[in-house]
Amino acid sequence: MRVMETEASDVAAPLPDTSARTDVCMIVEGTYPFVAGGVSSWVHDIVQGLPELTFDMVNIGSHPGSYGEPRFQLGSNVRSLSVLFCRENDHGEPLRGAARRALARRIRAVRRRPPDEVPSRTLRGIRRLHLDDTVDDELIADLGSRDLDIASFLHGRASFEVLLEINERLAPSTSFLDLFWHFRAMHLPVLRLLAAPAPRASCYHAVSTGYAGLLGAVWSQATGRPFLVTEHGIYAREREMELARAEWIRDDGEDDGLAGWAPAPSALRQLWSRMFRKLSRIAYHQAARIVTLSEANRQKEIVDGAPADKIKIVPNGVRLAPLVATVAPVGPGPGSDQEIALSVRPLRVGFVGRVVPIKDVVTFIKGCDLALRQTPLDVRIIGPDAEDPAYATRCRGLVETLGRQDSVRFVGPQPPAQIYGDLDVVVLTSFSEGQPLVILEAYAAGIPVIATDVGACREMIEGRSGEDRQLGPSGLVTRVAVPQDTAAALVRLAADASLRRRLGEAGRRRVRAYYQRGDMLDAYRAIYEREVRS
Amino acid sequence: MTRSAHARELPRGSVRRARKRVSWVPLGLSAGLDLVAVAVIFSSHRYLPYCSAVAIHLIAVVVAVNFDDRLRGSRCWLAGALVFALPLVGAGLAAVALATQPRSGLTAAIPVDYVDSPMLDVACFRKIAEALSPCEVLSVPGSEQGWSTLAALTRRGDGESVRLLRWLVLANPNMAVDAALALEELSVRFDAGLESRRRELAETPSAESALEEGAFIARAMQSGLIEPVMLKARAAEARRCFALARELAPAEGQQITLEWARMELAAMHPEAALLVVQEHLARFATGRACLALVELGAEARLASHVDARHALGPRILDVQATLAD
Repeated sequence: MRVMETEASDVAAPLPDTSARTDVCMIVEGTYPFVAGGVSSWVHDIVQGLPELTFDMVNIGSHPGSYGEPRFQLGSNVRSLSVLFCRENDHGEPLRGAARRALARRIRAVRRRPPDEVPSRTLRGIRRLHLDDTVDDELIADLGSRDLDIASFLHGRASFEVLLEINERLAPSTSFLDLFWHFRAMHLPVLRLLAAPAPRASCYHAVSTGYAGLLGAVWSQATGRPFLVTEHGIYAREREMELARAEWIRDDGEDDGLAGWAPAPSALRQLWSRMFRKLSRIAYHQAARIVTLSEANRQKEIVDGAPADKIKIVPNGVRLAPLVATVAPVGPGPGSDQEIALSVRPLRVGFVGRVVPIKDVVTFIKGCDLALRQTPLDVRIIGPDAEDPAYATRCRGLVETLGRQDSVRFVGPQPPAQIYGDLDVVVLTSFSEGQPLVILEAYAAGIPVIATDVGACREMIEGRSGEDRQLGPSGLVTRVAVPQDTAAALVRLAADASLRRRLGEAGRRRVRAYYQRGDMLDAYRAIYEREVRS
Repeated sequence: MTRSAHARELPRGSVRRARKRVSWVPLGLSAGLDLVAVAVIFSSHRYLPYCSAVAIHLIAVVVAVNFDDRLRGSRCWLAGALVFALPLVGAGLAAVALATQPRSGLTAAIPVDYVDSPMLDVACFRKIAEALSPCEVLSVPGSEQGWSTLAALTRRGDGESVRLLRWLVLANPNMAVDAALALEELSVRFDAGLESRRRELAETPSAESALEEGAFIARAMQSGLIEPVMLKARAAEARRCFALARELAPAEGQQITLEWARMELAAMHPEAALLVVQEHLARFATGRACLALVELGAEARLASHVDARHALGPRILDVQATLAD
């Protein structure tokens, strides 16, 4: 297995050799194998669970040096791991002397170059990303034509004319200088990535839309091989959420003195969000199959332009055996030793996950503090906290400020079997989730869950289909960032052992019926086999 | 709308004519030089006098333009042109022209606060007619203007913004996550600000830095950024800061008392606010209490349901215990 770190640029990036075709080229954005988390674990599960297939992994990263050591051991069926980067590292000091003069000469040469008789197809594709609402094969072929190098894009007359047209039609009142730099920032990653040649594979599988989806769609069309998209979260919507908070985009009317009125949407913000939506639509258009985790996601994808007949729901799954084996039979029965024990010891509450802002551990701590005013709790925060040390410090500081050091403990990462054998309730207060494995693991151990109403959490707790719903709820759903809700749910579960037992039992039945790892692997095996052999 | 257009709307009597100041000395000197030039022309020599007269005339231009510091830009060009083009009378005409008051000059006499008040142009009126309030925009899920509004609220971060964001979190499932993230961002910003103020107070303990930290917490409480679950801890920290500030600078007592009482009211401890105000009034009985302090005291009394005649009286010990807690 080879690992290649590639700084994609106007020079075609060296990707896996084309002598032998792998079964699946899996394209991920910023996750596996360098970043721990739900999507990475899912990819690892798929790759490990389907040893009969060979994989080429293509990881799209931000910039060289942004990754540390891989967090996952790659399996023997992974033939290669390539890393493409969206942007180059800053060179620090600006060029001086001869190097600066040489660069100036190169730029002048590009500017003086007579306009091509045949205009760049890539540039035509870029123009269509913004100025044309349709997505078709021609657009994908144009974007994948690789006939526009970085220098021509940055300094060429044709790209400047596209910029002028966008300025005139979409952002006439925006500062041209702002638009100029945003236009570059928007398209340079696309051009760098598109410069990479397609690895030889029987099918391409992007684990999100966005840049990964674009690359998969373009490679699929260039090679004539099928393309799959799996979306855990909805990429375009996640980017929109980020853009809404982006401070590097100024909104029109922000400082116009009419503070009581909603500001007009910034043309630059619109350009960015429309581009990401267009990238999603490109992936949806080219995909032979779109796989998603939940019905809620499916509905969102349809609204965003995915053809309903292409979408298949394949929920995440967990391996039941190791969890069930280490956990006592579900919940304490009435009058059992465990129930008696629970009446004299505090309820053991666990937050299982990375201590990062998106998990909103702050709300969890606040909710526990409120609940602790009414009932004793033994709270553990189980998971790594090295990813965002500032946030982890904030969480620890909060526990200290609230004076709850005795009741709320940070215990670091632990193996799943150890975690769930020692908990009565699992709480998830995330701002955003796909289909959290933590909930499934808790179910497998017969532990009720309190989770915020994000991603697929509600349907995991209350059931997706009619049959599923008949199993009954397996936890309690709370509102996002409302610690009072979390506290109320904790107090309710602490006070009612039979409710805990019922919820835990329903969770165990639910995970057995719908969320087994084997089922998920079978579903992907079937999809891959059909596409690989097509 | 330009300043001059705005000025035209002013009532006649409200504008005091500004007097333009022109220095007559260089212009008079310039006219005198022109007279010398004329005299030279009519003198005896045939060729020399013309060249000399031209040279003297040019000197007159230079004198007119350069020897008056008040001539700048177009005024300089006007004076130069008139003196250069019209010997003898040019300097006089320049003086008259420069002393004349143009209409645009009227704005110089407009009171500054009047000119700087918001000026609405057509675009503003159109916006008012077409624009929606943040509440209306945020009621529509997933609209681009909704994202922009959310971003603007996050940037603003004042009490109104925080209240609107909290409303979204509790009552609008479509925007709840985004609003929650915005509130989280504001909280992070507050924590960072508080941390830097704590550091400053630890490094250079002074009444100003203690008051600054206490007031910073008070403002966050008033805006609603600090959730009820955190009120007790934050209020205790603010009290420590105010007490330190009062200890370090007793003379600044009034400002400290104002901030302290506001904080207590925001922390829902009106009795403590009243106590703080009354303590101050008792200590500085001879001085004149500012109106804001008296009003704050009245507000605290109203909120705590304490009878004005008895003030805190026997309950003072309870309040002191609360503060100590």
